[in-house]
Amino acid sequence: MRRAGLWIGIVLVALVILAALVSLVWTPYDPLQVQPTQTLQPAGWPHLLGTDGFGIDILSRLLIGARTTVFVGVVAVSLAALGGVPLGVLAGMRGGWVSEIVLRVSDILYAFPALLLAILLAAAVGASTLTAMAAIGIASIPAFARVARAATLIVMTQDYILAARASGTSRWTISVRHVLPNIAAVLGVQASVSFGIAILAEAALSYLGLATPPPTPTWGRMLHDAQTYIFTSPIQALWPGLAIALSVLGLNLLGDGLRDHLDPRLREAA
Amino acid sequence: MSPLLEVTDLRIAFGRSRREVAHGISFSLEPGERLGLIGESGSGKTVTALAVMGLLAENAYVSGSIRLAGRELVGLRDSELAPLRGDLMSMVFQEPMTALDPTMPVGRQVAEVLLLHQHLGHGVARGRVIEILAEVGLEDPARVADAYPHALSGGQRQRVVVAMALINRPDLVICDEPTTALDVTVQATVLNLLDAALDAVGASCLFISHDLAVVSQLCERVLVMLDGDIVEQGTMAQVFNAPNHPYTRGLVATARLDAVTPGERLPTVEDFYARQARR
Amino acid sequence: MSLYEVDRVSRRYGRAGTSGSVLAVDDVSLSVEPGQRLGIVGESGSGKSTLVRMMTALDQPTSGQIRFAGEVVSHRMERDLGGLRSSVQLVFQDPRSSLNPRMRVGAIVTEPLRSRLLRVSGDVPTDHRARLAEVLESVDLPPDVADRFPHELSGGQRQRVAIARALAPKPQVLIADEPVSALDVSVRAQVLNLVRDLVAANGLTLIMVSHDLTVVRHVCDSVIVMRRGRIEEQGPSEQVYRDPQSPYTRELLAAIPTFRVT
Repeated sequence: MRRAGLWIGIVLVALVILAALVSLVWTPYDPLQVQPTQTLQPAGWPHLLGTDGFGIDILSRLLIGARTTVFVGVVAVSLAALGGVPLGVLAGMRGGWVSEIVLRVSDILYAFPALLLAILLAAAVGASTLTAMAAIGIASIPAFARVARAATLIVMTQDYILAARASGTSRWTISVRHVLPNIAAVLGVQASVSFGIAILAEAALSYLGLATPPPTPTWGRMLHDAQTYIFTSPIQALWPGLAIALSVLGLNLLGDGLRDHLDPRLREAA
Repeated sequence: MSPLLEVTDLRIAFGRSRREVAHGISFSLEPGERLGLIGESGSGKTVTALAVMGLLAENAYVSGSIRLAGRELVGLRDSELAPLRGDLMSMVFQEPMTALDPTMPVGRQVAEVLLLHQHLGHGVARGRVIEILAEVGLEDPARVADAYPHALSGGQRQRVVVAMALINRPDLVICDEPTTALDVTVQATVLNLLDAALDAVGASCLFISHDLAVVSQLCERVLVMLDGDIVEQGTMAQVFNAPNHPYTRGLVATARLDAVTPGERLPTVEDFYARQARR
Repeated sequence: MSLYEVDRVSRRYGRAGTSGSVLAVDDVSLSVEPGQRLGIVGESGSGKSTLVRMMTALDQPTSGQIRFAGEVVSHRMERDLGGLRSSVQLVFQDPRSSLNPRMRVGAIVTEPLRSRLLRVSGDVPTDHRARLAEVLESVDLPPDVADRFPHELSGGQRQRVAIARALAPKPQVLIADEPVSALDVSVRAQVLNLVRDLVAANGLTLIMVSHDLTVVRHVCDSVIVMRRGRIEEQGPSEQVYRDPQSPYTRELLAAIPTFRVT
């Protein structure tokens, strides 16, 4: 019963990933084909979720949007992890001024919301999926650095680290063979949370036009386009909004569930 | 006189797989008696104590009977059990550092136990707290009452924990390895303290440990637990001189290091009792 | 020449004169001969574990010097410590935290063999699988234990894995820091017998830290009693046990509970 949250989270996340994968090979209708005669159709048959202002099938656009969402999320979180984890582990293992520097740098990065970075990048090289991913990724580095550092500090108090040093194991090998495997679980939880944040950030950025340019559909963009029809066809906003909400919910439930799953295990190992 | 604590066919299981860790334990404890419960890690001794206090985890299944002063405890809701804890029965845990809240002065924590069960003014409560801190042998009890746990030594902390357990003059005190984490000189003084304090209050004691030598300092009777079963019950003298179960004989042999000639091989439990391959 | 020479070693935490400053080890000198079985006895705060950490270069003294086999090992760079690391191995107190929970026993035990530092400096066995089998047998563990994780084993078994790991690189010196304190009393005898037998069979020098004089008396031939960072008393273990000179040693002995019938 307590695991219900975890399973719901898994199901929701799996649905989103499935949607993204399916969209690579098939969508019910062409997401780019404008059909002036079919505009603003209600949900039902033949368009399961209705059509938008250009007569394009909403479900198809939603599926393609899932692709961007997942893609941006995965790349941004990977970027954040690749940047933040080594910094955090270094700070945790070395302590002293190295740790101070890492913490200050991460504080500075924390001060820049993804939005600001995205605007900067867009101004510099033009808005695109790439700039969105970079902005969100960089903005998420501090979270990973801090979590990695905290978890590393705990690992460093364990005797097996001392045993490794007494065995002549190099610091590098200790970080890879002893620290990383033992902080991986905590990082997984953080990745889940960061993924959710990334999705929201991407939606916000593409709503503002600072991410993937049209005509490629993204959920945020769909929300933006739905504004015009808010009174005439509210489902325009409903479907992408729901998609965003459920994805983030799913990731949060997954993260929480993972964390709870870890907790009793940690106690058992004691 | 009827027993203070009567445990009959106590079975404790965990999780959905109903993994049983106590297989029908039965024993009784008279008022004022000290009973030792001896066993290794995993023998089920701690879960038995937690079952009596009603402190087991949510996924624990308890069946059988636990009667304290004639009242059945198995099946009671936490709201019915909570008033008994700290009042009728109390517990002294192994780790004094985790038994005390690091963010609160110890005097307040002791007072909390008092005020949960009695309606007293704060001035009166403080007086009682300082009184009992002095009773457990703490020098300058007023200063200790205002101190935070980290400012006290391990021995001082354990005295505070004993004070908390005794302040409401309970009928039953359960001690779960109370001295295992302490230095040997500190352990000796805490055991003496427990001895005197239990006498002063007239409380019964269920003393849990893996160390027969420690248990023998305090208890007249002892139960030996192995893998969820009680394999021996008897007085300290019986167990010392003529243990029945081979496992008990092994425990006695390993508890008497002083009887072994130095340089000789130390006797192990396996010399007397072949354990399951699991170990 | 002594195997170990500890020369007026002190270890201070925090800056001298400040309130947080602690003198964990205070001007301690001792020497250990090859083949000696030394016990270091003390309670918490005695400095015994800190001393032993410094002897294995896992911590540095704030003053004084430590020499192993004639070479200075305090304040050296890690890369120069190959000789020490391949000759001196450590068994820690807590079997729950001294084994990496994410590594299998086989990998844990052979870790010292895979260290480049050790391979370069000592005659460390090169056939890992053979040495693993050998060393598991010598600690009375079945060979299939190599595939298990630490949490699947009991405390006594985990401690034997720790001993196996210490023996894998064929060290000269075995330092055991309270090897049985975290184990149930009934399990201790097994591990102590094992330590004694292995030390005898491999001709090792043993330094065993403990808070229990009766345990040390059975395993060690000489003992040092420490209190608050200083040496209170030292001598042959039997002599110190029977005829303690220092009042603190007498207090220690008196405090040890014996199984008695009132």
